[in-house]
Amino acid sequence: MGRDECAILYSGGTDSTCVAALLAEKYPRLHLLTFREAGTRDTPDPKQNIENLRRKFSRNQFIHQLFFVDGLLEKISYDRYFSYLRRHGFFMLSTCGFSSLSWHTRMIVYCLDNDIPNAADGITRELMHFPGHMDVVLAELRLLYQNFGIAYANPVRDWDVPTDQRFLDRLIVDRHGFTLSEDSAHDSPRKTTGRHLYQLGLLPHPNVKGSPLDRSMQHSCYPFVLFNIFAFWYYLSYHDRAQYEREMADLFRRKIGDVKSFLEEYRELGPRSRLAAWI
Amino acid sequence: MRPVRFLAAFLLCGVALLLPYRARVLYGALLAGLAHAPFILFGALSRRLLRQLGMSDFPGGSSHGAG
Repeated sequence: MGRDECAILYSGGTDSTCVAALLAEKYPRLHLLTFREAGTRDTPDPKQNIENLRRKFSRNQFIHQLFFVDGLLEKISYDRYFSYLRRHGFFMLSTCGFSSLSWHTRMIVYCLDNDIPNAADGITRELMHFPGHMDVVLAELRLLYQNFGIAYANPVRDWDVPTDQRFLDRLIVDRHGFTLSEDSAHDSPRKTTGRHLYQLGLLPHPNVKGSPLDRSMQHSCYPFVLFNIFAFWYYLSYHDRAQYEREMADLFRRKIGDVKSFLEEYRELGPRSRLAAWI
Repeated sequence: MRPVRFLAAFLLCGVALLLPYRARVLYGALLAGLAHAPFILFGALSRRLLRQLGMSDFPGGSSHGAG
């Protein structure tokens, strides 16, 4: 118990499924934690990939948990709102980052409640403008987990990422049926999460990006459009990337500090803590 | 173009900053819907045209669907 277990932030997509497959070789018992909130309510249920993992790794135990985190996300997004707004302005629209912070918070609570000393997720180097994907924010998160005796890892962080489907491919194949031809399965020998799952027999093709299969696994998130408008049209129109990252890191250092105090109170008071009411 | 995008973003994001949580989620959903509408409509049009031309599958392979 404990040492042989790991909790994984599990969206059901290619990256988190690959992490589950990798860690199944190290931990007999894996806790797959899926999170939902109002902005992601249309995300498909990851049932199929979990069944595939259980079939492939029949000696492991995969425990799936689904958490609704609206209360926690609202708290993280709006706590001391005007004070934060004065200091960070439009960066307070970083809903995607607050959302992932709410998942990490809830995962730490789960690990504390179940005495699980290991945690992981499938973060890669895609979408690096998202705060939860930035090196500096991940380093702060690692310290947060460490503060509660949990080792947090990103096993596929530095793996290659597949090339995006071309713009027109995404349009034309919309809900029509995407031909995952065997020929193109050998085109890209790079080490990607999709290729690893393909080699394990858990995916029909090494690069399913843009296909209906991919869409059936994808995290469906409305708020990212608003966040992208802020990042690319508003801030990066007149500021450089380094400034953007500094500002974002500053905001998330504070938010992670707030979360740390909520968690410390939870560790001490349990069900009587404020955090217990929000989850 | 950049000043136009900046101004549009300022207005769109400015509204969002004033909204409470649930309202901001709905607002984000509305913006996402508007942003994706041209692509969804284009996809529907292309499928209709392909069907009318008797080309329900892509050349070179059968439709693999969701696998």
